[in-house]
Amino acid sequence: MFRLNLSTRPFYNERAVHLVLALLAIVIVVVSVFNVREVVRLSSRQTTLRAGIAADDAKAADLRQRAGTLRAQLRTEDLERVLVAAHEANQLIERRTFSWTELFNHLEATLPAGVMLTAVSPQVDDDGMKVGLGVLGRKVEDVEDFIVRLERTGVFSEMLSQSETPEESGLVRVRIQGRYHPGQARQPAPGGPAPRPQAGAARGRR
Amino acid sequence: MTLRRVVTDKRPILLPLLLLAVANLGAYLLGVAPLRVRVATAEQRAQDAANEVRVAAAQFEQARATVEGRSRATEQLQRFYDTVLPPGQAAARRLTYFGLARLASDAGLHVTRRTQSVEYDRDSTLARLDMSMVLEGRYENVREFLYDVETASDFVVITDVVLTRGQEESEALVLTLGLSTYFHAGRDR
Repeated sequence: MFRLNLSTRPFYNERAVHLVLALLAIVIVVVSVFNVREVVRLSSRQTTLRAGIAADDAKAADLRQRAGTLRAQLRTEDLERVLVAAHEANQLIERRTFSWTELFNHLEATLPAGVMLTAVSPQVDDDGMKVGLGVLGRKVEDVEDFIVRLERTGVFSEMLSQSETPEESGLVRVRIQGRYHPGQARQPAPGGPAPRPQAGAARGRR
Repeated sequence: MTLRRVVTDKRPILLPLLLLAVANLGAYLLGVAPLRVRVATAEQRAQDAANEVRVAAAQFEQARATVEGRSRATEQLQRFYDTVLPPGQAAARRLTYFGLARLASDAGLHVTRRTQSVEYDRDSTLARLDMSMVLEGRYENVREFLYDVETASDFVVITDVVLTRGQEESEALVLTLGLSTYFHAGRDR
């Protein structure tokens, strides 16, 4: 077949050109819509954030002011006085609730035959409870045995014989100091957890 | 050659499209992009503001807890002074002088000597009434007396216990006891 175009301005493919132009127009419309939506969304977000910031700033300022008012009510001297008084009251209550019966039960359970208990003085300090014991022993070995037995209970620790003085009677007077931890017995003290005085308990066995 | 013809032929359509494209580019560069930066900055600022609120709330809670703690402690201290401790020196004296003597007698101990003194500490609101008691009796009676004192409702603290043997061949022990009770000093000073 033979084709011939005799026109002075040759035809071109208009359909393809129209297609390209249509695609270009669609792209431009999509981009325009995107831009408009972004402006609206971002503006709205900015407005919301600004309102939130203003509210948070006001709330923080209010809280700081209320905290300042509360702190102004608290005079340091008053607070310290209450703290000192509370500490003092707690120490008194701790000393009041100290169980001499439990302590004596432990001492009786560990006192060897050659040792007699002569003095007991517990003291509450910041680390717990110290206890001072005065004993009369036949021999230093008996007192040493007493100290070992005390520590073995788990209730006494850091026991130290502070002074030893021989008596005219031949006995040795010893001052023992150490720490006392009520309620930490490896074996319950005779008399149980809420001990009563033991009936007929041995006093200083000599 | 053909492209120039197409552009020339389609200029009425191409020109508006080109203008729209340029306008979009301008809107993005001058509007959307700076707005994005401003929103990101505002988000950071909002985060900081929220943190400041949290810090301020914690400070307020701490101050409130301190005030409440002080009020509670003051109230409990007052209750301790009013209901647990003797209400004054006279009550403290009665408690140690008569109350302990009765407990000793009930336990079968014989009181041989007593001393009392009141100590005021400048740094404390409490005054201390110290009592020293010398008692005689059997060991079992001593234990019973100590148990009675520590389980009594009165606020008496045993501070020292000293045991000595009485006369030879006797079962009696001499118990020297240090005791203290406390009262609110403001009421008697």
